[in-house]
Amino acid sequence: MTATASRPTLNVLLIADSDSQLLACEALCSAPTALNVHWTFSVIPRDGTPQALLLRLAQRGRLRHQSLAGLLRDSRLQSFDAIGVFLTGSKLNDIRLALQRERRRPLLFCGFNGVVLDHFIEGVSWRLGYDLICLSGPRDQQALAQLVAGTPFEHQRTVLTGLRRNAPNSDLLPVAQRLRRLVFAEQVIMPATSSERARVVRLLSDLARRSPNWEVLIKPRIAPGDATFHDVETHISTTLQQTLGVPPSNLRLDYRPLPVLLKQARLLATLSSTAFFDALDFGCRTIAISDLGLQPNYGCHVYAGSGVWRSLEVIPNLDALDAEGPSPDPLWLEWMGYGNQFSPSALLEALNEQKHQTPNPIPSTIGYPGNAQSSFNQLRLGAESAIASGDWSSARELLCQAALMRPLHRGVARRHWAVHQTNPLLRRIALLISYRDLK
Amino acid sequence: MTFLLISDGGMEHSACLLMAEALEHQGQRCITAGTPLLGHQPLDTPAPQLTIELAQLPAHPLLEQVSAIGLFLQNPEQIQYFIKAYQGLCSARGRPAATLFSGPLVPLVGDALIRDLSLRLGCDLLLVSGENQRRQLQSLTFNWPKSLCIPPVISTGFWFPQAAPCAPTQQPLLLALIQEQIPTHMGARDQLLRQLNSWARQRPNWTVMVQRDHSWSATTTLMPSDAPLTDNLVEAAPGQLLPLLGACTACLTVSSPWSLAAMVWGRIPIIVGDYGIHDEQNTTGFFGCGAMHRLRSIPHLDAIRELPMANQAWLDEMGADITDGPMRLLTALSELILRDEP
Repeated sequence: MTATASRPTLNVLLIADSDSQLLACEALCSAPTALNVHWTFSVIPRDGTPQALLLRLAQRGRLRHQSLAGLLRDSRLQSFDAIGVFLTGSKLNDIRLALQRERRRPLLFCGFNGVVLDHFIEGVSWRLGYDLICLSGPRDQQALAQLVAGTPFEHQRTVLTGLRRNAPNSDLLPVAQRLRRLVFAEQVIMPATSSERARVVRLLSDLARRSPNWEVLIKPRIAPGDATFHDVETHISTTLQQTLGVPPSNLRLDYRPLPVLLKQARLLATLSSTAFFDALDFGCRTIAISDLGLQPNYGCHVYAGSGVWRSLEVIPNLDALDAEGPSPDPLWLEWMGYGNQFSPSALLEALNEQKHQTPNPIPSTIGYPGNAQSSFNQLRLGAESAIASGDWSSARELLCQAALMRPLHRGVARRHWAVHQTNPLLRRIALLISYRDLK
Repeated sequence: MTFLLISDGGMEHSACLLMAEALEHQGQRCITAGTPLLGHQPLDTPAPQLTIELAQLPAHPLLEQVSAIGLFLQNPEQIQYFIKAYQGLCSARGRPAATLFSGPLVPLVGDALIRDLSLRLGCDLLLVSGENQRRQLQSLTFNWPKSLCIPPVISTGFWFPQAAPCAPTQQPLLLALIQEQIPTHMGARDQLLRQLNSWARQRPNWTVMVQRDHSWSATTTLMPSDAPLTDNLVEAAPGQLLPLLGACTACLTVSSPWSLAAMVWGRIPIIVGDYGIHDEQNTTGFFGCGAMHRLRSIPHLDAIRELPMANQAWLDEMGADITDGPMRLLTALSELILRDEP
């Protein structure tokens, strides 16, 4: 028997759709662990998911492409020790509810993608009831504890998995030996307005002009044509052109993977991207841009405490910044969850400890419905299940609530009318006419 | 100390009036100033002593006589304009500016709280409702640089009277607080009103009153025209919000902050949970209140009597257990003035 086989084994399925969620999965399975983990990835097909990312995941485990409906019907789900769900709110609920109906089921866990800049309460309310919620660090843990104190969710289990998303590198060059290069990590909707996006481009261009012996690289969040969770109105390549016409020769876009750029660069600048922490993984110095002020909708309030919240406008040139050696405040790094004490390994250990225990049911108390059963999509899916089993009363109730949420939704109105028919033949015809395949 | 309390909405006028009364009771001098209100108002509040447009206030000679100015404006973005204009004028005239205090009257949480703070950063003192808000702000501003000048934060409780103005009526009364833009889904407000009408029809011994929580014009109708109204469903007249909150058996809303008054005064609260916990529905602030229910879980109005009261621990954290708000304000202002003395 090999050494690998003698280690405790954990079969883990990770479910994700958009690229940022797939990145979170990739970070999880990079974690060092003493366990023998078999990874399977179930990717819900979505246009524009970067192929390179899918290829990287395929190298780490088994990769499946399945629609959410197909996945929920898949009996193989029960064969895993744990299932990690990295999807948006209502889909998180769909999977939890589908699996919690079973008497024996895998452990369920979920997490957030990188630094949570906003909508934390909303995000948590979708995740409550999972066996484990992965959080980045003490900041998120404290916010969650404050939120659920004195409620039936007070005992929700969490685990800190940190913001170190990249495996340790032994081949990193010291900063002083690297190219004089600053990487700007672009975010697709932060800033959101075209004037602010143009302003950031202009600030980078001016800094590049003041630093002729440096290269300033803009790393687009996605390549043109690729997709992420948020819709992109104007790609950064267009903004660059529309703002500068002709950029300085030392400012350009670079589509190479971020780790490749960060290994070679001395500095990274960002408004509020989680790439800030990736840069630290690769030994790169970092600054967060303060020129747009304290705009909480862009997450600037989170990075204001970093100790490196700097105005590009007042930096004389990149040599001066480099000589200064900006370094984030260690207190803040720990608060955010960046440090050796926080790692996805903690999740794997917790899953291994809990895998033979019976998972706790979700607490259900009058007055605390959370977001469970409040998703429009979920109400429709629930109604379809009720229709399939001939439970007309439940179907009417669920569609009634969906109609209350979206009174002008014609599909729901038709379906609602159909289930209200008492004549079985008429109802059958109405159901056939109003049928839509809900993905 | 002489206080000037500036407000520009019904809730803000009412809160300033209460604060002025409490401060005067402590031997302080108080002047209330604000903009005139247009249209029907849910509250019957006397006009401020000085009625004036906000744009004219920074240069008003009255401001030279006051030691502290409280700014309670509906749109916190206006606070920055006032502070800039007022402090600019003081500086140009070589006069010291009065101490400025401000804060959201209603308990905000998460994104709304930090957004609000970012718009009030020029103030000398920030008022929030409860300890929950004060602690959240500590976390949200973790390690911020001194250059951002975070004002000291104190919690001063709720903006409405601590005791109900009257006892609940003998006959059961459901008060529904209708918001101007929530629920946000198109047609959802009408659907909610139809549900209330249907409940009222099923139980004629109940009275259902629909009360807007915002100002409205005499020509706008609230109820959708497609359903015949039952006799026991009534639209509230202007100025009746507080007495109706006191008189009701239960108070239903999606996320009106006035539901907190019903909770504090011991009425049965119903926060409609059908729209989920979402920032855009303002329901994130009610997470943990213990009074969130889906409409389909309430088969008829009599079932409301079985619903629980609000989670008291949550309510206290939001500010219900603070009964000495004006005293806390006075103490904090005195400390600030002492600190700033040469």
